[in-house]
Amino acid sequence: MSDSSRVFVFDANAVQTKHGRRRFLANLAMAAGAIALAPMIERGAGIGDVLRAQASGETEPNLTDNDILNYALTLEYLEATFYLRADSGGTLPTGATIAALDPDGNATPGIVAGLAGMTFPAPSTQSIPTFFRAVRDHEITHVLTLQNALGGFALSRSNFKFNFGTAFASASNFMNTAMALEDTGVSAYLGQVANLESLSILSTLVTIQAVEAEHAAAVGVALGQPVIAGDVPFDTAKTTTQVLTIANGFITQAPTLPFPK
Amino acid sequence: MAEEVARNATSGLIAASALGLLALSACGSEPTNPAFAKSLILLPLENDSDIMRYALLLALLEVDFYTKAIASGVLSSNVATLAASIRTHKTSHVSALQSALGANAITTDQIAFSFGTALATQASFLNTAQSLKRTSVGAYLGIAHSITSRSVRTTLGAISSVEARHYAALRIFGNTSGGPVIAAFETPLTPQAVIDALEASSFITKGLA
Repeated sequence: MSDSSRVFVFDANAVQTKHGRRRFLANLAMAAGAIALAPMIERGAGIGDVLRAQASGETEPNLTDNDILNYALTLEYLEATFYLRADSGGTLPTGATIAALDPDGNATPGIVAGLAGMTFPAPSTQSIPTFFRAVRDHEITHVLTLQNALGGFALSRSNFKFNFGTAFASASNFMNTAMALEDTGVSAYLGQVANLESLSILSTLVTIQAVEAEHAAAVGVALGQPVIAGDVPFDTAKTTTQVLTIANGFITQAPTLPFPK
Repeated sequence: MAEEVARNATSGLIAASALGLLALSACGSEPTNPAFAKSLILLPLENDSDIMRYALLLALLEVDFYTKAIASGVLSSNVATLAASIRTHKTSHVSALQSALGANAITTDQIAFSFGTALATQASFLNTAQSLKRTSVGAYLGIAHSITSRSVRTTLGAISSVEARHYAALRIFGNTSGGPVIAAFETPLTPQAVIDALEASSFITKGLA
């Protein structure tokens, strides 16, 4: 069963054994890894990088865990600022201030025309503005958690400037922008699960990814749409480059970022 | 950061328990019931194949649940549309996991499910659907750090956030206290907590023990 001279022979019986199953899965993982690496090869990554990534299964092998945490923090800064400018009322999570979270915008306009009084579709009676205030506070909590994890390595919010154009002009504009930001967040986190070294950071970031997905789905339901764009069964992983292409539509100033690389 | 996870895990377990499904007394301990040896899922999960079989069991359970819920005729328009969407997604998850597992996959003749009165009304459907979904979300988050292959991490991660999407939508239609998204972090569940919850539910009539 475990004849090492037959490494590439597929034997259905061998899959039943623990050793055989491991080898089968390793081959499966290698095949899946090759697909994941195609974009890297396409964009001309060095052969050394490609081989290193193939050996480990990483899609962006040069990113450190701190780079990934700062990438997450950049996206959470963007989201927290967006929701704060839509609703600056109530009490913010402990440790958060408008001055620290939105130094370039001061949380203006602070209200979205037409959103007040809206509820989710029947049979729900839940308030949509109440939901968005909770989302705001979740994103602020993500910012505080990531800043705390990074300590002195955290990118400073004061070096970013954000602009959301006409996103606050109507409930429809606001909710569609919210959904785009949340979906981008899901794809960004999913795109990095293969690149993290620390299992404890991985465990935390997947719990944030799930919450971003819940936000996105709820906005979809509010808009009378499926819980995921296209009603597809899987979320899509995106690279740092793909995510920045979307996020840069809202980022008007940024410090030197440690990603992509 | 680990403390943060632990704190949220505790609050989420309490919330899940309040939904009436999760029995947490044996959380974290090794199974001692001899009948467990006949289970399709043996704990601890030892490798990526074991982890995918565990995910597959949960997906098969949900496909059966949503198939019966849609056939029940008790769901109103928006809820029925959501149930059909979830059923389609879960069917794809089953196919993907069976394909990845090959000969090692759980087959439909090895398992059977019964949901009793859970599908008698839309309200009972929404309650049970949330309990199952909450358990599934927690299951995926609880095994992410145990996966060996980085590409399997991505594959299961692409399923886990769709589970989270379903959960938020079910909470909306269930008018669940706390709103669509209850906290800034979702709550991982250990495999032992998940299997205990499934045993306590009695929804799996063949294949668990």
